[in-house]
Amino acid sequence: MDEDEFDAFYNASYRRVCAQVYAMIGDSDEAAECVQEAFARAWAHRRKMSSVDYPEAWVRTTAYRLAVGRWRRKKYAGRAADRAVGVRMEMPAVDETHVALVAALKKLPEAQRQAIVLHHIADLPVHQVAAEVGVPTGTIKARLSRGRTALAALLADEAPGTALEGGVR
Amino acid sequence: MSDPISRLDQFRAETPGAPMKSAAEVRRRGDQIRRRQRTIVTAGAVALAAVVAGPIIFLSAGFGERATEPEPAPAPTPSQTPSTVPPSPSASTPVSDLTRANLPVEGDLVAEDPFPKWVLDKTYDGEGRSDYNECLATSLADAGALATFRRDFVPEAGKQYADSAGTLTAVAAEFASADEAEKVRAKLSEAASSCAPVDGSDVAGSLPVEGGVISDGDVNVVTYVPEDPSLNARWEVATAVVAVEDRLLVMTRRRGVQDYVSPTSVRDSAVAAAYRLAGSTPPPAAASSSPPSSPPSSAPAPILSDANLVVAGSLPGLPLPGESSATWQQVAAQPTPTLYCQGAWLSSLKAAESVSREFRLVNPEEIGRVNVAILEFATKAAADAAYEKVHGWLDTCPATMADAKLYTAGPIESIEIDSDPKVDRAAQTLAEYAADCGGEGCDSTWYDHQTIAQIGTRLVLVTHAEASGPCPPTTACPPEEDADYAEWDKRVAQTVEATVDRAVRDLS
Repeated sequence: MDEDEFDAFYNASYRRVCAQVYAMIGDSDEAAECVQEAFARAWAHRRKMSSVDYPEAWVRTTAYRLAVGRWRRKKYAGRAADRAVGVRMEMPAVDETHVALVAALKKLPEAQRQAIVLHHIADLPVHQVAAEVGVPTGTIKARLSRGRTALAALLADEAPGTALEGGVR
Repeated sequence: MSDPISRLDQFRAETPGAPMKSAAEVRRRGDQIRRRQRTIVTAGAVALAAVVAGPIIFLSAGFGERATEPEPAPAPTPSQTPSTVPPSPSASTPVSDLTRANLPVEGDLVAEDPFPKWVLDKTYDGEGRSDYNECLATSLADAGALATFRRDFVPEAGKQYADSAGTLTAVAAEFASADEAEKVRAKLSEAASSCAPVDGSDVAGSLPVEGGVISDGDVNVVTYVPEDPSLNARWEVATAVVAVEDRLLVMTRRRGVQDYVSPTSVRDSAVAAAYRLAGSTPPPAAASSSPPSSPPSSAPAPILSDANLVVAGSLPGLPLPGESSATWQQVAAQPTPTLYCQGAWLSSLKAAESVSREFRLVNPEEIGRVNVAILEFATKAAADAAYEKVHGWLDTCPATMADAKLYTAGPIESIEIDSDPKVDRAAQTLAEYAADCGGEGCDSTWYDHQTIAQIGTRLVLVTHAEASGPCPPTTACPPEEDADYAEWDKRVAQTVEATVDRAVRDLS
């Protein structure tokens, strides 16, 4: 992967992967930092990347692992995430409906959330989700089914709550 | 709209905007990661080579590129024949009878195994340029010396490890009185120990230089990271400052190092050179015409070695939620004190010998720290005094050597440590101070157990620090029962016991 190929890959995939990781972890700042760090690592391992079938999946998985690792460290040590990529960036305001969806996703078990994000937001077919997560397709189907049911219930609960909050204000 | 599929579709279609760095910036970060990984790999290889071969290995530029080149003195021919060219004093100032004959010669110098012997390179009237030692901001002439002479030595060319042995410089000076010489000696010794002119210099150790004709003296070793990133070692400056009546000898060895080695060869060289400084000839026991592996008989064999230092595998892993425990890795000496509460560098304790080692967690970084130092003193009384000094630091926690803000410290408590031979006394305190999160709203705190133990003439200093916050690294947050502290206490105890066990291994 040369510079031009990397730049094209980065420019085409960055926002999409950011949205997916944001949906998975529920923190847009953290998602942006982790995705940029994952792209930086992809460039650092560019020879290896040339032989990777789905570079975007590699970046997404790396970013997700980075995010989970940071969350564990923060939970354990209470320290801020490292600033490897640079200073923290000002994030644009996020659509409220997206915030509500991400909040609902956060309430799902991690495995169900991951399956739903990869299938419905990253738009991967079930077999590819299975390959990325490393479980059988049947397991992914079950997680998707349960996840969608749980998510529907969470979103249904969220609707009146939103109205109530608006009323209080 | 609570249909999850349509909401997810909408989310995908309206991908939330995320700020984006340029691809070039991300590539630069990737290149940085790549360089760092390469450095780590190479450093590992060099460390292994150093273990096998003994000497320090440079990856590219040799020491000579950094060595200072003094201004040539007017027409001196390198010679070991005494010169009679003192500076011309005025009638009202004392006359110095210091000559080149008072400078050390090759036979006075002890080479460190496995490096080749030192051979004379150049001799100068005066100090040449004063930057032969980056730790000393003031020249001897500026300090009031009546006369100065300098001699440079280099490793014997063509011999194995000659490229990595460094350089050795000896400067002899005479002052108006013994008192004045002693005052300058004390100042130079302090300057050599603190090495203030060099940012980020770190005290590696010190030894007293005594015996023979010496009035007082010591050798201090500092290290620092070189500016040249291609050098895979730290620069080491070992400075012996010795007073003999109204004369001073400043002996400087500069080289690159991977690990600290007690500067016994510099000390022994200074002891022998002191005789010549006084105008006499070193006795056979002090002069080293013998092979480098046979130091003068007046020099005791080193007592402490790396074998007295705990290894990473003996330290307790740190449990992390959902992951296997993080393990420790030995790191190069850091420019920080061994104990957070230290009131001065450990060299101020004037131990006869010292060894130290530092560890960090392999993954994740920066949430665990273990520093250990073993100090051996010439006498029990000296060890007792040093214990009291360190105990005082732990009790009051001046923390003058540390940057991080102190939240709470103490009280210091006596502790029991199971070891053979038995520990005479030991004490421990817990200091809590700000951890560097690099951002605002950071609630991370270092919970730092600092321990001192005494076994006869030996002191063992241990730091076991874990970063956590807002709660301490207990199993419950906030901790409510004693049991919540059990795992943490056990980790600290294990670190201390493993360190003491290794520190006294040669005594049992």
